[in-house]
Order: sequence, then structure tokens, then C-alpha cells
Amino acid sequence: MVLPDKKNNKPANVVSRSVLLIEDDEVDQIAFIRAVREMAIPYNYHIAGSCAEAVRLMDTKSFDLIISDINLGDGTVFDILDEIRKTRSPLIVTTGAGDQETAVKALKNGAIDYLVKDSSGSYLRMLPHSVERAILRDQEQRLLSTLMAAVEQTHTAIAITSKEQIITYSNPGLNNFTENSNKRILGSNLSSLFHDNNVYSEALTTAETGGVWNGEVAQKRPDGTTRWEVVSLSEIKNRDGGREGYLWIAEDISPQKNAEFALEKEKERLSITLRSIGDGVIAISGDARIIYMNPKARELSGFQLESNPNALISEVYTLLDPVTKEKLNGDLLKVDTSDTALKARYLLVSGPGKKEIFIEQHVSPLPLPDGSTGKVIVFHDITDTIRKEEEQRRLQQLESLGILAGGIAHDLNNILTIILSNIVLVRDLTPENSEVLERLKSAERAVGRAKSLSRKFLTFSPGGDPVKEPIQLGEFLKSAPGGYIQGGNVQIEYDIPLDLPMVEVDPGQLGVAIHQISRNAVESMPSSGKLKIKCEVDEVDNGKSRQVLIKLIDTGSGILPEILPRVFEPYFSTKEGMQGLGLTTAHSIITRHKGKIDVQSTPGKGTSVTLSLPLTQNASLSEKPIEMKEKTSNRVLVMDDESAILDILSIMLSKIGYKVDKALDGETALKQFKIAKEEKSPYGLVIMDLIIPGGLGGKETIKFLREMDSDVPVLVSSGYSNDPVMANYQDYGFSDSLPKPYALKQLKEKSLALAPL
Amino acid sequence: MNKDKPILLVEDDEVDVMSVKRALRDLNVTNKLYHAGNGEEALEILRDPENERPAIILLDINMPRMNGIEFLKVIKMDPDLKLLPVIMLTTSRADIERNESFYSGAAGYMVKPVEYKQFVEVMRAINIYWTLSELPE
Repeated sequence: MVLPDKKNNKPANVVSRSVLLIEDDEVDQIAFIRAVREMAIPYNYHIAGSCAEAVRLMDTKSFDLIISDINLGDGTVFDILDEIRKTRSPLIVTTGAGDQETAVKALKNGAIDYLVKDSSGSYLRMLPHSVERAILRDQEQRLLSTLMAAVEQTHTAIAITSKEQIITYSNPGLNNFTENSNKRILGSNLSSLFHDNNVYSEALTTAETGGVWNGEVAQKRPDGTTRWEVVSLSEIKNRDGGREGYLWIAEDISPQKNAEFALEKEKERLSITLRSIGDGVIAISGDARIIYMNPKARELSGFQLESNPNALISEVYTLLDPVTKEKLNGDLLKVDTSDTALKARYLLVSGPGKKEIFIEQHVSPLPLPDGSTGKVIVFHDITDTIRKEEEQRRLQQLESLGILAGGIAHDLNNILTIILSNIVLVRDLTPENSEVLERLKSAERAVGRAKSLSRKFLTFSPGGDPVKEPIQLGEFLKSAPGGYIQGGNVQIEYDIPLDLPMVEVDPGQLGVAIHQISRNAVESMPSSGKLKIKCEVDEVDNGKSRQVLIKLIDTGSGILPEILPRVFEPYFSTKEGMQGLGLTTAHSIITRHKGKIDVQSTPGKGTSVTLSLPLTQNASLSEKPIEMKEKTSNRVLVMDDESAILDILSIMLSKIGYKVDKALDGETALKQFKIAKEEKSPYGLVIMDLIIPGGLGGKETIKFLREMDSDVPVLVSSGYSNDPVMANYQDYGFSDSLPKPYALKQLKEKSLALAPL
Repeated sequence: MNKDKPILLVEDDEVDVMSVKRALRDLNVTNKLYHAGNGEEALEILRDPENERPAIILLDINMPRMNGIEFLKVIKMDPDLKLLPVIMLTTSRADIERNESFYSGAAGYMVKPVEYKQFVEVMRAINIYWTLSELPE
């Protein structure tokens, strides 16, 4: 046996290996042992003389390589191939000369190489090379299969083409990717993986010049959604540096992309929101520079961020104390910690015109991308709100004033009733042509004026349903405005037909309305002018109903068209220091009379105000038809907490012919009524005061009284002539109402109508 | 009247109840007021252990169900209630009723005036008398 020279034959890179030799021929075993020793190969080997021994060894030890003879004493290598495979060690088979066929069978079954035994044993000299080659090949095969598995299993789509761009490989990831699995990928052109030819040629150019093309591609899916891919194309070079083909890799990035889109949409929504909200929004950095201003903030501050992108908030946002209007210093942009905290109110100097507007401000912290903390200032223009609050306050003041005025008017009416009644009584006792008579009439007229004054008070108090009575409109109009218009150079002209029917109105209220309108007219004619008061009867609704028109036409300065629609608004006034309630009052009075008020005006020429009031059928007959009742009883029960009124009332009623009983409150009146009924001497009429402080007033008493007697006529009287009970007395169980102050004449008419004598 | 104890008003007429309440208010009598519309109701109030024992009973005569005299007789038979002073406060001026009231143990007899002002005076008198009067425990 010629063995290789130690120096020459020992492979330089031979490393220590653990080797299993399966060989039943002892001679061959010895040849192997000798060759290893002589060539000084650092093998750590075991020798199995049979299949059984080999299996046992493989069970207990692991080997880098297994060398096995084909024919073994107790079988062949094919019998133990499964066990060998399990060890995952590469296998070299040895075979006798002329038995290559068997060797090929072994190769097919997983052996990595074979050695042909020759009688000289020279094949053993090849052993180290064969072993190393086998191990290397095994490693390469393993790596390749790992690579293959990786490529096959990844979700990334991979395609490899020939240098002619024909797809020669596609991994399962690509099959999933293309969705249309029927489509044949292998053998088709690379361009089929690109949906846009321009993109394809760009990618190919990049790859051909040795670069890597990367791109994002949007793919429409059959279901209408869009899939986003990131695609890369590069050249594959062979070992010589020549082009082998191309590598196409693609990944579905739709989830990331969709998240990105969602974020962008959110940003856009936010931006639209910020642009469209009515609040000003300013974001500032930690060093108080403006980062963002929404359009409302620009509008309110009059500042354009583009023209000065690094502006400090203090240059733009000047806050004043809302009361003193002094400029505020210090940290006004403190972060509001509580959500429910009252928002700070300031005055903001707004825009280039340096207008001052009321704002409400809320400041929140704003974390910025650079890690610092800025602030978001949200501010709201509350000038309107403040104005409304102010109006509300004025309205409330006015209302409390109204309640006060109502109280005064009530007391005044009681007093006037006493005065008026006494005057009338004295007048009746005074002989004609007496000088005293003239004085009494004068006093009576003064009471009349006081009466209209107290009615005016009541117009401003809550409630205010008109207490209507038929009046001669002509007389009324001639006395009403004339009394109010003091001095001046305004000439008043009347155009009132003589046959004007009686109109049912609340004279106090209508007087106020006429007064307010004529005062406006007079004020529009500061130097001189003419106020014409014209009345006419108008048929409406095809003659089914009639209304009376009162026109007040002046030659004053007129009202500008843009102001005209606002003249009835409360607190709308073009005159400094005026409350702006005059026409509002007139409007509400006419509306309460179910009438209409209309204003027409030509600036510079004058204004015409038309009041239309409905004419009731009754009113046109000039007096209410009174249903004459049967005479019942001449006993009258009078209830009033004011004993002077009780006295004068009983005198007046006695003069008419009644027998009068007095009660200072409802409790007393009810008892008296009950007793009279029990004693079979009932009352024919009850007159009650509406309100009795501390006790039962007419409003409460009537309920108990009606339980006892549903028929007896009850007349309600009050100084609160605007109390709803007075206008809607029937709803409360009264038979009629009589506003104070009243004179004997009215009392007589009403009482005789209810309880004839 | 003993400030701490309530007053029991036995009265069916709504207006009279209102008058008593108003008069007590006008006289600044702030005692709690129990109101019964007839004798039976009044007995229920007296016998309900939840209720405080009243200092005085104001009793009308003409009432439906159990009238004032009947009620008076019942409580004067009851050892628990017999010591409660009962003032007849009524519209009846009839001798027979006045006599029967006192025979049955009424502590006083007042006719309700028609006029409220006088009514207040009656209430004032009752109030003063029963404030000064010493009662057994």
C-alpha cells in the first residue's frame, strides 16, 4: 500500500472530525486505521462491524461524517439508511470496483459521495478530500435548503428573472400577492409585475445600471380598495460579475399606509375644524412664539402670521382689564387646570382698528414634537353675550321698576278713587252756577290726568292685558298727544271724521303708544315741522270686518332704510342717552290690542306710522248692549281693605239706591254672605277688591263664594288695572270688572246693569 | 299659649280654618296647628302616638259625622284626654248648646264674630288667657 507523503498529503485545512466507519471487513478496517494514522489526520473515529453495532453507536454518539460499506455482515447500508438520515450526518459509501450501480442507488438515497475500493487501498488516500468535500457539500446543501425555505415561506413577494426579464422563479408570497392565482407568473415577462409601463422602464433602467430601484406603488384591488406596495428591483450578478437576471421584491404596506392616511385625514379634519370654528385658536411655543393661528384668530387679532412668522404672542394678543380697560401685565396665559374652571374674561384689542372686544379665554398645555411644551389659547368673542347680559340686566331693572310702579299705581288709584268719588259727591250737592262747581270740575280734571299718569306706570309693569272700554277716538286723540307735546315749533293737524265709531281700547295704554310715536315724530323735527293725525275706517277681509286706522304723519328727518326694520327692537336707539323702548312699548301695546303697527319712511321727507285697531261689532254700536236682568235684591256687599273706599263706595251705592254692607277682607265677606243667605235675605250684588294684603282677596274669595252661590253678580275692582284678572274676569268667576279709579257714573252703570233696582 | 305644644283645631268650615290660621299668624302665634274636619278625625289625631299632645283644643259645634258636643263628651270620658282644655269656638249662639258644652266639661265658649278684626280679638283673648293659665302636668 503506497501511502501519501505526510507533508504533501495532509490537507492543510483538515480539522478534527468525528467519523463513524461502518465496515464488516476487518482488513478494510485495519487499512482505514492505518491510513488515518499514517496521514496523521486528526480523526476521532469509531468503527462499527455490523448494522446492529452501527445503529447502537449512532444512537449514543453524533458524528460529522459516516463512511459505510454497502454490504455489511448482517445486512446492507440500505437497511440502516433511515437511522443514518436521522443523525443528519453526511454519508459516504464505499463500494467494490464494478459495483458503481449500487453506489448510484446509494447516492439517490441520500449518500453524498462514494469511494471505490481498490485492492491497493489507494482510495483511502483520497479520504480526507472526500470527507471535507462531503461535509462542505452537505453544509452547502443545508444552507441552500434553509435559504429556499426562507424564500418560500416569507410573506414578501419575490421573483427572479432571467437576464431577458423572463420570470424564472416566484415564491408563494408572490402568488398570494397577485391574488389572481390563475395568472401564470412563471415564464411571463417582468413587466407584468408592474402595472405602469413608465414605472417599469424607470425601474429597469436603474437596475440595469447596477442600482436598486425602490418605489411605492398603489394597486387597485378588484373589491375597489387600494393596496399599497413597496417594490424593489435589482440586478443579480453571477460570479463573473455578469448579469444573471433580476430580483424583484415587493411588500404589502397597506396597513401602514392606511394608518398613515387615517392620520392625514384626521389632521385634515382637525385643520378644517380649526378653520371653521368660531373660536380663535392660537398655538404658541415654549418661548411664546406663535406657531399656528386659525382664521378666526387672524380675523380677531388682525394679524397675518405669514408676514411675520416668528412673532411673539405679546405682539398680537393684547389683553385689557374688562372693567378698568387698563393693559394687563403678568402671566395671562396660565394653563387652566380645571375643565370646569370659569374661563377668564378679558378685553382684547382687536385688529388694525384697535377695536376692543370682550373675550373669554381658555389656555391648555400643548406638547410639541421637540419635547418642549407650548400652549393653546382658545378665545371666544363674547361681546354679543356681554351686550345681551347687559340688556337682560336692564330689562330686569325695568321689570323691578315696573313692579314698583305697579304698586305705586295701585295705591294711587285707591286714593284717586276716594278723591274722585268725594269730588263727585260734593259736586252733586253743589247748586248750578256756583263758583265752587267750577273748582270741583277743575279738581276732577286733575284727577283725570293723575289717572292717566298711573295708567302709564302700569304699562311698564308685568302683565298688562288691556282693560278695554269704548272711547270716542277723536276726542281722545285730540287730548292725548297735545298734552304731551310741550312747546316747540311743531304744528299739529287733525283729520278725523266726525262719524268715527266708538273704539274699544285701553285708553291708558293707547295714550302711551300715541305719546311714544308722537314724541319720536317731534324729535325728528327739531326746528319746525308738522304732525298730521289722521283717522279712517277701513274694511278688511272682503268687508267682513272693519278696522280703524290711526296715521301719524310727520315731516321730520325720516328713518334710514337699513335702520327701519330695527325700530321696534328693544334698546334700539339712534339717539344718545335714549333707552330705545318707546316704539317697543307702542308695538307691544298695539299687539296686545290685536292690532298692527306699520312704519314707512323716506329719509329727509318724513315718517308715517299707521296703527290699525280692529273694530268689534259691539264697539261700532257705540255702547255695549247690556242684558237687563231681573230685579233680585237691593242688598250689596262691598269688600275692600281700604276703609275710606268702603265708606265712599257705600255712600255712592246708597245714593244709587242700594243697601250696603261692608267687609274689610274676604273672610269677613264670605261669612256675611253666608249669613245673609241663611237668613233668606241674600245679596243682589258683591263688589270686591282684587288684592287684599295678608288676607283673602277677591281672586281667592270668589272661589269660595261661587261654591255657595254660582249666580250672584260679582264685580271685581282693582287699582292694578293691568292684572290679567281685570281683563279676563269671566275666567275667574267674576261678572264684570271696574278699574280704579272710577267715578259714580261708571259705578252706577256697571252696578245697575248687574243688579237692577 | 304654651309655646312648645301644638293647637288642635276641630273645624269643618274652610273659611273659618283660614281665618284661624290668619289670626294666629297676625298674633305671632307660631305653635304647630293640627286640623281636623270633624270629631272622628280629631280623635284619630289625639290617639295617634306619633302626634304631640296639644296644649288646647279649639272646637266647632256644627260638624258632620261626630259633632263638637259628641266629641267633647268622648274626650272627657277618656282619662288620658280629659284634662285637655277645650274652647268651644262656634257660630252657634243657642243657649242649649252653650249649657251642654259647659256641662260636658268645656273650658270656654266663644262665638266667632263675622268680622275678621273682631275674630282676631277673640283669638287674642284666648291666646292671653291660656298663656297665663297654669295647667296640671
